[in-house]
Amino acid sequence: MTAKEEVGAVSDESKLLRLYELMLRVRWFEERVAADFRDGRIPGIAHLSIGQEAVAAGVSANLRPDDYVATTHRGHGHLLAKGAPADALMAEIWGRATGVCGGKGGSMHIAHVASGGLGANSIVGAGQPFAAGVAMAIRQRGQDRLVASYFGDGAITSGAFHEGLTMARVFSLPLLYVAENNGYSETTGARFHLGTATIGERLAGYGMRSEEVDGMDAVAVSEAAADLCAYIRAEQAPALLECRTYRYHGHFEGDPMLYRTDAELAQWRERDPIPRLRQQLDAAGLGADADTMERAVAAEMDAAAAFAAQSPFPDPAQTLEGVLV
Amino acid sequence: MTELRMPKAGSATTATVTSWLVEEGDSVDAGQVVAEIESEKATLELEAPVGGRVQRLLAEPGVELPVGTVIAELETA
Repeated sequence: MTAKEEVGAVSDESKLLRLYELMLRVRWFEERVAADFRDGRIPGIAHLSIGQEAVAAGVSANLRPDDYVATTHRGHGHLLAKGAPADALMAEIWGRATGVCGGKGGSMHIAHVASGGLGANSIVGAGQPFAAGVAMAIRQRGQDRLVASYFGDGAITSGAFHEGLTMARVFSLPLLYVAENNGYSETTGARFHLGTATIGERLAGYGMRSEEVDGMDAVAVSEAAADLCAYIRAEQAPALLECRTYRYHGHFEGDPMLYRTDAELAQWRERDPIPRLRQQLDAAGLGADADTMERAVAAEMDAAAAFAAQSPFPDPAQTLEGVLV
Repeated sequence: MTELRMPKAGSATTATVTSWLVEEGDSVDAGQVVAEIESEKATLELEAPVGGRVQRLLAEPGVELPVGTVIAELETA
């Protein structure tokens, strides 16, 4: 297979650069979160997707501005890649008034509806019923939109998850289910909780068109997402994109990670999606463009962290505004 | 000079150095484990973010401190 064939549907140079930019933004955004979290500057808890960026990038590159994403407790990257602004997203994670939810949502309830980011969800497997509800609204309004509903391998053991998929199947809703199979449900390996080798096998009863891809390869994810999004829009039916991926950090920041070996982590790091795409860019003669992009993204994330650090906390007098009580 | 701060694990707001694995004056490499830390959420190892010489150890083992407190200083090149 030649390099050109390998690139396939995204041979377009601007699309390769776009994937690179999306991954870099997620990686460097979350590395800033990790550093500031460790030093005690960020309240609450944070679950980072460092290592999994090819999924957010490959999916988002094929979504339209008016499509939606519904994500998980590990969802900063999904919202950022969908178009949420880095500075207000960062400020939200810091619990600041300038955040996308006024500092009241934090990492696990972060949302940016203007860019289609319907929100994270702190409860594993709880995002699927509400994603199905949004897809039902799209159907009833006769809109040409879809919902990308992210979940991890751990979500499949939850009852609510299956209620959502049942609704999607029975009403044939425009939903792209994106499985981020990172091999762990918190600290439990997928071989102990999944019951099958793949998520696709486990969900076969829903009769969805499904694709399984290397989730450490942004181009592969993007190609499969392009096919499935076209299918969903044309057929008005749900589909499953299963991405085999890995998180380099723990389940939560500060997780001592006693359930996995250094050798396993090292093996996955060798397949890091970012240097992998950088090599493709260099081979395509786009190295200088990538360098420029790296400088811009680094500056963007420095500015986002500075913005968050300098922003005020929400006014206690407004505690009950903008929340359901 | 690089400051080492009491690391935050999960939602814990305080943590305790259970033991220092280095002494003042020791040279450390980046990534070397310098302390064992315990909090209500997890027990973890604190690594030196950069290589250098341990200038001061500021946290008494067994004393609970707020996360983010400077607990050691590394002299870096």
